[in-house]
Amino acid sequence: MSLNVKRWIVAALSFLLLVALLLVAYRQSERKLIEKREIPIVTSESKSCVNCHKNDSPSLVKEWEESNHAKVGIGCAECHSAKEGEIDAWKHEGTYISALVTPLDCAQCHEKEYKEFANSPHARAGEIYAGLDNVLAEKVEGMPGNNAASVNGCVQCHGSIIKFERDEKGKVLRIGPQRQPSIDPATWPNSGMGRLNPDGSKGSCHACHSRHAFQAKVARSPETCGKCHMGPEHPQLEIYNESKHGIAFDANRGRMDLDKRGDWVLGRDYSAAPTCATCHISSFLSAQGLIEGGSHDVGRRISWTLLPVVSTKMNRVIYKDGYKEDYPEAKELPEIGDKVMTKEYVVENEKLVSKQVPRVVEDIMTWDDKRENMIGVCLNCHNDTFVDNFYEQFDNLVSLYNDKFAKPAQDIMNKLEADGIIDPKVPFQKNVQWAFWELWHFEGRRARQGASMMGPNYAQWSGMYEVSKQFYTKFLPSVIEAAAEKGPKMEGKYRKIVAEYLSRPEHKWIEGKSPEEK
Amino acid sequence: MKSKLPTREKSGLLHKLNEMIPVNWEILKEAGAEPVPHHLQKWWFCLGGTVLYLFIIQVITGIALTFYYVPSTNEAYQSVARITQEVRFGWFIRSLNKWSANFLIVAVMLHMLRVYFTGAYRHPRQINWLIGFLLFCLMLGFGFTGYSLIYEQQSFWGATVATNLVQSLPLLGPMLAYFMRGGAEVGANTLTRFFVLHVGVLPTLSFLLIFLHILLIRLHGVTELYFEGEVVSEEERFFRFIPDHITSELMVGVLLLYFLTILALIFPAGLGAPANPGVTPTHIKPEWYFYFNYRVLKLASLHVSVVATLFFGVVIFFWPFIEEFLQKKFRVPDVLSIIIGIVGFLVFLLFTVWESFASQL
Amino acid sequence: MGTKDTETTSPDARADDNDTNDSRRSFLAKMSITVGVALGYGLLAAEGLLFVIPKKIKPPTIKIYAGRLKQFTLGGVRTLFDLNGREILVKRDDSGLTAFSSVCPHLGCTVHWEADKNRFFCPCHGGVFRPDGVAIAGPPADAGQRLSEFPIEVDKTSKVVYLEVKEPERGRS
Repeated sequence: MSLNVKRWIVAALSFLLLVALLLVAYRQSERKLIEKREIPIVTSESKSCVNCHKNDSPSLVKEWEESNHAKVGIGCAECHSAKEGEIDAWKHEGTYISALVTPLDCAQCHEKEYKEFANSPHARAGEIYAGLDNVLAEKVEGMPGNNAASVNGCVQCHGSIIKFERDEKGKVLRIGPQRQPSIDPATWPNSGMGRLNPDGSKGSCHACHSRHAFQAKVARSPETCGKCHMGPEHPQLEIYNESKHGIAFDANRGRMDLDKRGDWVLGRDYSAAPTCATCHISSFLSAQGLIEGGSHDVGRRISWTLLPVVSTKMNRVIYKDGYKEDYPEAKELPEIGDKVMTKEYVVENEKLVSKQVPRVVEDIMTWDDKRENMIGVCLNCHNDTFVDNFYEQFDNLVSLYNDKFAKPAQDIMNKLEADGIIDPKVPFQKNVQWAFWELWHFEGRRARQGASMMGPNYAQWSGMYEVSKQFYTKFLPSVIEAAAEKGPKMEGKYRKIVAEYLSRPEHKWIEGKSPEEK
Repeated sequence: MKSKLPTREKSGLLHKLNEMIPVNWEILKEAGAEPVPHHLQKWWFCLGGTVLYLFIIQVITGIALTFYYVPSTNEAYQSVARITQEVRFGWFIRSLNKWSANFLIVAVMLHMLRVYFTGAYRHPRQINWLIGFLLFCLMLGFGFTGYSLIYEQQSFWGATVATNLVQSLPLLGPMLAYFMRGGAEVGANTLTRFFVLHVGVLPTLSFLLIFLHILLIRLHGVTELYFEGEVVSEEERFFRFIPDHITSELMVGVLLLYFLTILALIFPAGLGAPANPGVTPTHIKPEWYFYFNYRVLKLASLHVSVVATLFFGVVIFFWPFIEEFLQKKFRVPDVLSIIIGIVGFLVFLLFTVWESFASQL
Repeated sequence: MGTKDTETTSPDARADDNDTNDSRRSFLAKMSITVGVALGYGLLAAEGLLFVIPKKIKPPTIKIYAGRLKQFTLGGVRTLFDLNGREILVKRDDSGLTAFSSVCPHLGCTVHWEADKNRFFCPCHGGVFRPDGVAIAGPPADAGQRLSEFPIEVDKTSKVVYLEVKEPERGRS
């Protein structure tokens, strides 16, 4: 090989080398720094907590490290710190803390959400103490000294009244070397939605925003709502899962962006399906292209109340201090600026009491306004005729239930009470009381809710079918039975009352075909 | 011989320089411009130069890597990760170092084969063979220590296995292993020790031995080599070192660098899981150049295989003398060396390939 | 030096650069080899140089929770700590919050706030700073220096204060 040939070969090889090195340079320029995993920040305040508790309860600390709180340095101290003198506070390793983190604690940073949540139906869930369910759990199911049915059942969803164990003098019992206040174990642990906290606040944020990772995707998942909103007397989760909404969600879980940090907007961040949060809380893109803000007030978009014996549309009165009251349609609405005596449930001496508090009206939301709020969500996927027709279908079922079964049953029960056949102070004493209870509290609610969320099986077979069966085969006979206990005269009276109802066009079928129909 | 240097009379400055550094440039020039026997044009004679070139690449990339590498058990892996992921061209320099290491050992082996099969180890060049074999061992040492420095799982456990093997050497084994590890177990001391070996001790020894190796070559000169029936004209018997041979070397050099760059682009050096003394990975494998030993280890007991490998090494080391002895004493024909060489290499190859296909530990 | 078995002969037979044609060819060849090698190895050297010179990355910062607005009194200075344990002095006035580094720009001592004199003061060499961070006396003033600031912001709805600080140092970074 001659020298020149060699030289050319070297030149050619050098050129190849140059190309290769250029590729290297290109590859280098394409490289980005590996995205670093966001590390949790432990501030000096929380450092000692973490160092100890990461051994005591490692998963708890690890979950916190995953949270968005940890990413900005919000740690144990920021939520658990308390002031000396507070009933649930004690000095732990040099600082005053409380195990109880209430909505007021969260409100330090999340004030907007707190304001929306307070006075919402969720925050009021603990007021069940004033109702019949409470009697059922405590008296019918429970026994003196053992209220376990309520403690494990009702109040785990509805929220307990946090109580403290006290000594003979009535002072809060403090136990252990750190003088930790002793909470009545029947009332805590409890993360019920309407928990009544010692600091006066109502509710517990972590009922939905499970600690300590506080993941958005948990709060936005239907399963979270389903902890409470399920079961024979309000099977919302089951209805949702039966409905097309739930099917779409189940198939498209990966497209829902459930863990999105910050605002989660239907129509912008996701579109595949609505979850409970979508319709009842979260933001959505309105028809005008604006983002309608979400609200933690779950009552804002609800037009009917499907809970009582007879359903009614619900208007809303909002007072200057933010307090809200639901007004059934029949109740006359005040004017804006009026001073009204409002009824408010508060906890006094660890008991739920009702108080009369004067307030000034700031705003009125009619049931129609509320329905429009909800329709804003529906319009993301459905056109207005679709939505209007749906509401007509839904309204009609509620009216059917009301008119054919609920109102007559209520009327009969009122008469029984007036005649002294049943004693309202002793519910669940007679069969008729159970039959009535189940009619409106179980079957009736299922039917109405099934229609409200497009679960046909719940509307019909688990709903209206069972309403009618309960009405005809259990309730009406038990009315006669109860009346008969008071003697033949009463029995006769109620036979006539029942017969009068049954002669109405909607019930007439029970007598067989009319002469014309034969 | 023509000299192209300016004579002393030509420049006063150069004259002054020459008085400061009293070297006879004429003789140096002559020494450097040695005519090269024509057989050295065959490519497989450039393997020695290839080794040197790759070694230089290793020195340069190695020094560069030392700018960022931290030889501490806490930080080693992280620093390698940083080099691979954050430092500009870090992945490239590291990949060059890795691929160059592999090429280096292949080139050394091929060079040894060439020297063996052309009988260039024979008298009077025995010492160069010894030096060469020592250099080979040094290169293996470079490979072993270098890989351990990464401190990923294979690094740690490979070092553990290797030092345990050393431990089982007769007589000196335990002491040697203790010295290698800097303790009873592979740990912080081991890493710093390997680092010192890799960047200090081994390079120094290598420079020394390479210098001696090349010096001996120049002192002995290169014998003309003719193949059977080959006819070479008078003009073609020799060619110039500069510029012809240098250009050939440059050819090889640029080609090598090109290949290394391509390999760095396509198969950049990666990173396994960080070393965890508590968890032994299911598959521990040394680098490929130790597969032979690893396979032997699996076939025989620890002591037998260590002694066998040692024996193998000793035979290769002293081969010039052994061959001379055999030829003098037993009058064995030349072809026996060839056969032994072929058989030996095939055995090595076989075991290496066998190990590479073996799937289990 | 350099003994050979046979005498050396001039390898001029190999030289191609005697003819003019050949000398042009060889000149081109010499040129291309020089250029080629220079570019090839040159680029390699450049990349190697870039390797050993670390690139200047802006140290990553992170926003941390620094309390609520009402914890900062108007007209006062509150001391916070960054993630490396250094003090940050946050002043609240009518225009809002300003977060000053407590590191004196002169030689790095820790500056503190003197409420009675309404100034920042550095005890090492008597450096004095106005409430807006500008040095007015002492060595820092002579050099026209001021206290450096950290970005600090208040979230409008929740009134939570966020401070942007350097990420915690983790060994050799």
